[in-house]
Amino acid sequence: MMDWPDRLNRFVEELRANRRPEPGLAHTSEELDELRMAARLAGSRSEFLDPDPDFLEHLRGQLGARNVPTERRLTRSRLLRVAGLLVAGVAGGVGLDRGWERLQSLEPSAATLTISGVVWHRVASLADLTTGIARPVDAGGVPVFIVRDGNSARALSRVCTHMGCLLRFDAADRDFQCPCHGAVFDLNGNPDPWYTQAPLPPLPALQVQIVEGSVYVRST
Amino acid sequence: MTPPEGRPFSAIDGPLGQPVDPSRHAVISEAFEEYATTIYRFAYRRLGNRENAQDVTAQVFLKASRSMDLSFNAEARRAWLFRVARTAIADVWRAYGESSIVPLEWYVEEPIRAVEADADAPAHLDRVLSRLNATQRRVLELRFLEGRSLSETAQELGTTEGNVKVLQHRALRRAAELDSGEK
Repeated sequence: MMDWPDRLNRFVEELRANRRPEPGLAHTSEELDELRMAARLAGSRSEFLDPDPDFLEHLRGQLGARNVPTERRLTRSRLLRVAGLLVAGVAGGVGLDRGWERLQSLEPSAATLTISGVVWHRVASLADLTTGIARPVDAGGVPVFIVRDGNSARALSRVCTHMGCLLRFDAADRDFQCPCHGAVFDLNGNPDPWYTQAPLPPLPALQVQIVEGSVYVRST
Repeated sequence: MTPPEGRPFSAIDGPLGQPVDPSRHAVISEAFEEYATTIYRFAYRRLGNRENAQDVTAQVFLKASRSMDLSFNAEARRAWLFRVARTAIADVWRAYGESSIVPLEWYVEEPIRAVEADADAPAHLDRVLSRLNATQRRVLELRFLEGRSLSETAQELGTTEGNVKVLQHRALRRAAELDSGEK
């Protein structure tokens, strides 16, 4: 457990970068008062007081989705995200995109590797992966995405940190989208604030190693 | 999920694919153009970062598109929008602490007065800062108003980074106390 001055400083550093701090930093009402004072001081920076025009345009587009032929106004995936967000809590939201899953092949884990008692699951050949394109795989029963980074690769949990639905990779938008309530995460696993109602934790990363051109993921 | 040909597709009202209400859209669009920037600033002044302020702004107008009463006059509409914004901001704080430590009045503070008070917010913060001791004031100026890093601040104050964190915490604590005393 970090001491309070360290937790407070994490909050302050995010404000300096104009980003959303992680939730749960304050444990007492006095600590929360300090966070609020820090936010008000940061909020007095007049250079950041105006909204980003792209953000306003995006939100305007969401509100204007009605009455406009979808094909002209919204991409399919964007529409699904808006719809998914707005039907949050309705079971029907889950059924929006049956068939999409079929486009993304699930590669079964072909082999394991045991090093010093730790089991690594082979999930792909590096040569089969394209940089910037995530692939959903099964790492010993754990659903993960593999994302190639040049000669290495990263593994991120496929489980949405909101309510545990399985995320899908959208190749057009290059992000991960949740079919249940519309949460969106970037390729680093960070949640996109436009699509979430409350701050969400990022997607946990799993350890990866490349052995002889094969990608192995440690799932425990 | 392509909408039926020749039929408007609503992502917002009721069951997907239902015809939409054009008068509702007109009212929401007007409210958006009039208040989006004001609501964003209202949130930014309280939350101090762009991402949280965008979340709050989006929540306010998405909620308006679903459930704002269309019969509101201009004043009631404004009050409704700021009330929703205040609730969304209190929810953000609930996520930073624990729900039990967020006082109920953060949700119910009279919204119009709060917006008008925004014009005085910089002067009010200046008054609070002026009552801190010189080191406490300086650490907050360096960190928040000048945006200096921890190491730059430590160098400027001739101390360690660890000590800057402690100074920062004490200065914010004192400022929060002075602020609650001034109200």
